[in-house]
Amino acid sequence: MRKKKDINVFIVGGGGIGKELARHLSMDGCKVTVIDKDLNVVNELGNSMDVICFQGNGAAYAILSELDAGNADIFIAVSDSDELNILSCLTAHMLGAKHTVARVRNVDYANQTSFYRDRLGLSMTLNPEMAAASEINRLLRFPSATRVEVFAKGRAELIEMIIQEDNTIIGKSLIEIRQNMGINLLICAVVRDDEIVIPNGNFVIHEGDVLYLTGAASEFNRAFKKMKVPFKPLDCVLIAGGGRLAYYLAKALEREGAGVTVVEKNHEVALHMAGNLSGVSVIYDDALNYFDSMSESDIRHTDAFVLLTENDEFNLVASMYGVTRNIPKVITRLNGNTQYKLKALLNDGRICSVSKEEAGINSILGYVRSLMDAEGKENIESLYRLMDGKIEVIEFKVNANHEHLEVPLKDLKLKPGTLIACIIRGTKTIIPGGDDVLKEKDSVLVVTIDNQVVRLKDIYKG
Amino acid sequence: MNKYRILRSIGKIVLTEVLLMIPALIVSFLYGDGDHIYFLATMIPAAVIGFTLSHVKVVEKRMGSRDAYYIVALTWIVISVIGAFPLYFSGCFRSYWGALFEMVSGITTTGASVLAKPELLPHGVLFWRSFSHWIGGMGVLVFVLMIMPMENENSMHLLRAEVPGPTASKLVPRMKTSSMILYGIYGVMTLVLIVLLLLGKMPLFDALCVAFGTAGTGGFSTSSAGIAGYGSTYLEIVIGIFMMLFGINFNVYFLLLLGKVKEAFRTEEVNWYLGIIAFSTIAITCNTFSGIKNLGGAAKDAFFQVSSIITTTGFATVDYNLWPEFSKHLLVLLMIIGACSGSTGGGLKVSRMIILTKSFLTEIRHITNPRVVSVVRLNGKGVDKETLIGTRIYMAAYFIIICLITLIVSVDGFDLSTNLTAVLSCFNNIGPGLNGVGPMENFGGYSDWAQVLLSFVMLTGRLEIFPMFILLSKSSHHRIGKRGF
Repeated sequence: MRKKKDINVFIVGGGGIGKELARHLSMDGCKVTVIDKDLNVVNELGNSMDVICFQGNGAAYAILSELDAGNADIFIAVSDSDELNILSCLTAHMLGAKHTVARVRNVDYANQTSFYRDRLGLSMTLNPEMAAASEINRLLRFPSATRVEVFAKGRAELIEMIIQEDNTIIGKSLIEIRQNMGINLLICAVVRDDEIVIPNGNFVIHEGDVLYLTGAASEFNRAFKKMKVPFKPLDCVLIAGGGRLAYYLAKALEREGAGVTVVEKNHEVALHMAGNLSGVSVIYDDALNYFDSMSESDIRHTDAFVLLTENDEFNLVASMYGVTRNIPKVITRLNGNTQYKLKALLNDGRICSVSKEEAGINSILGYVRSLMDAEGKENIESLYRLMDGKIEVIEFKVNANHEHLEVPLKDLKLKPGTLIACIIRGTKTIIPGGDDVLKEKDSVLVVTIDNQVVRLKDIYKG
Repeated sequence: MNKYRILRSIGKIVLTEVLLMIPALIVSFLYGDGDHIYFLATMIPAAVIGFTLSHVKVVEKRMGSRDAYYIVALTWIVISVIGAFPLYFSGCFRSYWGALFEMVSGITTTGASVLAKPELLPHGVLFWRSFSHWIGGMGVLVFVLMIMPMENENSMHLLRAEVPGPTASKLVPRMKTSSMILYGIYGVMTLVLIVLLLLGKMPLFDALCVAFGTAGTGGFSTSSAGIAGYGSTYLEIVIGIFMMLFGINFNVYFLLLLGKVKEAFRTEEVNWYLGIIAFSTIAITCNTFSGIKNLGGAAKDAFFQVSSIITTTGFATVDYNLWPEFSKHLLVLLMIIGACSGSTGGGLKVSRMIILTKSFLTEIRHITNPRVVSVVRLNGKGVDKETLIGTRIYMAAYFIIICLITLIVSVDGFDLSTNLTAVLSCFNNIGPGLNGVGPMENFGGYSDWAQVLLSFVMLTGRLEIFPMFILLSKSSHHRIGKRGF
């Protein structure tokens, strides 16, 4: 496995996200090169951190080839312009850069991520608004989950949760949970008293266990209801502000069946929003005005109040107001910087804050770190480390020369401490039972302890 | 200001110096001159101090650019003060201040000596004196950054303050790798030189010392006869060529290593530098030819001297004090110009000269046609405004300091040409000057206070003026206090 310090990272654009990325990655030990068109940014970055900076257009072939961007292991374009980001990633990809990440914010482009990935060779498109929207969505949906990772382009999720005393699965074995309760999730690892277990069917859940669950994203809602985790299905969410972030959030919530109301005080934006989202009611008003005009029973039925306007001060004041009116969940969007400064103030648990910048940085860092970890392993799509690296969750692609194709899983002997957690076939997510088989072009999630898996065939005994 | 951080960094640097004294200690044991006591008496207390300081608790990790300049300036002072002790203990110096002058002269790669007969020094001390050239040439902090993690992202400030030239740039993204590449190139070139010197029948000890002096563009010799004492044309030509090579910007060697030959040869600064050497060599050959009547010999001496002065090494094969006035004047000009930025040489740097000359031409165009828009270019790229202003201010500061120091030194009673060239020679880290401080003379004539002042001048010149003055400036202390850093 290559050492991290040999990883060559290029970052185009030294703005808010680019700067933070450069700082984190250079502290991780990567060789970081930053390209920005502004000389002041270049000087400041070059002076304040251990990275090398160049001034210029990060999409220009001349500059990229002069700087040898083809040698980049990871090429990240996070300048202000979507078009420039896409173009510079394309150029770098053609020059030979291994992985390319582009920030694409415009809704017109952002919906075609699979085209960019599969046809144009971009490894990842980052949309900070979308990342923030899914972060808010997670906060709304799984308040008890301590961590959520997304696999296979969003088709499977991994959730880390602590079992509280009133959970219905306490005292039940995994077989009972699967068969009697009808929970179609896989418990792929359990941490009990600092010891990590890959459980078999007879394993009994205790209070205080930390569970790692995998399954299809849509399955979690139902399963949580059955487990009686403190989880209230969202009936009614009130969103203030109608920007891109609100659009992504409203769309995701609507898909999950929640009633969404968006309040926006700019008429055109409101109109645009209403045109794009059919199932969402859009109100043309000031958010606080509308909030005051709501009846007591309306407020009582509001499960969450989400402040997504571009104005930090308004968001803060409105969220405090929401708390005084006893809205159970208040989430506010803040600028990355503001959020950092107000951390202490927001820590009382009633107001959650989310920042687009931080969400964007986290999702790129997560991706880059999973790439760094996956370097040197074959056919790995992504890799996540849990519990300080003691548990690895690896996403493999099954290729044609795999030796156990079409063999039912019950006939395969797996090494102890490894588990096939999930099979993703096309758009379907399968929680594997004994009769399921592996087919070519499947993606499989393998959970393993003790770092014993490098290739897919390593999971078999003998 | 982050006092603890500075102390901690200084501690690490003191420890590094103790490590660097080990080769000299070994040499002293091998020759058995009895000077190992001098080294041990310095190294043991220094190690204790360094160890204590490097374990100072750092309350705040942040390091601003002011802290970095403090660290740079203090590093060089501390290294000189500690490094001077073995020299002082040897008893060959009139006072500690003379030993300090000698050490500063070594570490700043000046090569000016207060000793008439350096061969009287024990071998270990002689070795240490020359080895300090090698360390000072590429930079102490560059070395420290290579072997010790500075645990801070802001260490770039350190490199910026220490590497000579109008703009400092890294070769590769990571500073540690950058330092390693620089020292790698430096080390390999020094090794090649040592081998070539040995092939020329130079004794091993002398070959090492001369190679250190050449590589760091320092100029200490192991005997009063200097390079001329070996009486070998081969050695003179090898040293002459290598002095020239060490005066070239090390980025060029890095480009060559990467196989970018075309780019390396297109570097404007290097072309000017080689051009100046060629022109001066021819001019001095023509000027001195009539006196020597030997074209080959005249050309060889001219080349050696030009190469020695422009790279600020300061070796001498002939007493150029006896040369015609034109040649002497040309040498003084070369002293001011100096070597390329990013090399081990000192002086004003060729790239600054290019920028200044070009701004001068631009200004003439601007006066004749005020609406003309013109850009000063270096290597085909426009020089940015900050570098331009920085270069002009540097030039102004350079001349103000030289004039003032010359005035102060004149109190010691020597003539103008001695004092001026002594200051120029110290400031540009060359070594010899003219008249009383000529190549066959030494700085021993100056009194103690003048030697300390000239030591300060050498450090100022090596660190390119600003770090030393930031350390001295009272107003900045005041502001630090008020702002509560």
